Amino acid sequence: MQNDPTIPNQSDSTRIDNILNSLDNIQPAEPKPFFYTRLMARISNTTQSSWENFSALITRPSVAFSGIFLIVLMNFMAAWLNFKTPAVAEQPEVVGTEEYTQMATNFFDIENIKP
Amino acid sequence: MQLTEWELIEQLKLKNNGAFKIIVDTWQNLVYNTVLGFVQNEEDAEDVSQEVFIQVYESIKNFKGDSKFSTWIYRISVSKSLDHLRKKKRKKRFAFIESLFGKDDELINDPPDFLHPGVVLENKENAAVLFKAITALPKNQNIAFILNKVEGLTYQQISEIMEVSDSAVDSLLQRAKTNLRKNLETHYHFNK
Repeated sequence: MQNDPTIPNQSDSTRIDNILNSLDNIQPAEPKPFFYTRLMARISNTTQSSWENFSALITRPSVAFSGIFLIVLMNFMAAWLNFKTPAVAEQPEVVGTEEYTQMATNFFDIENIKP
Repeated sequence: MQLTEWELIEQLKLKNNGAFKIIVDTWQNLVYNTVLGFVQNEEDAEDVSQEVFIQVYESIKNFKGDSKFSTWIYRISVSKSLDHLRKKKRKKRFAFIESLFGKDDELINDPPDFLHPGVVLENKENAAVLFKAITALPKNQNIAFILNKVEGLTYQQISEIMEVSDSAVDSLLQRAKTNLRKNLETHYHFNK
């Protein structure tokens, strides 16, 4: 009788059992000594000021490109709105010379009040 | 005076470095061993363990005591380990794409067989084969198997960490063993 190649033979089966049981009685691994010291060194190296955090945020490519895109978009919108609105020349406020004269007269009148 | 676990947590919320040192000294072996089971590299395990404690320090204010502190630390360890593996996979894929365009000649090769320092000498070779096969398991089976076999946790502890029922953990472990056996049989069938 020919053996089915898809069914492992006895030696394979035993070997697979041995592999599956190879973690029995495993001892827990431990980190190298002075783990806490290395951890604190890492924490102090990664501690950043709020300005550093802010600069790190704005220099992120996604944030930077979004910001640039927004500024360009706002410029385009502003230009388009200016272009669309008909240019109406503002009329300068004209103050009549009479009014100036009147004011000046009143001022000097106060100074030259006679009893 | 020895502080209770809850007092330590309260002190850590006040950013007391002494309390943090006690917590690190108490839990470092547990964290490192768990992480090592997932990442299968001692240097990476050290890095990820440090990230776990940084996360503990930063997010202790969110710990409300709904679960045990150990369960919370295990959850962070598992999640950080899986994040690390995802990043490594992405990096490897990116390096492969870059190598196609001839940008970088150096390819990130498959890591050598992982030899866990806690495995007895006569089992080292078999354990290396098993660790390699474990990486091919689906995520939840992978987590349950490592927590049970490497960290030696009970079904109940695993169920608390994974937030599933005990029977679900049992089912995950059974399926993990079946899949591992199937993978190993295929491996030996093709290597004849």
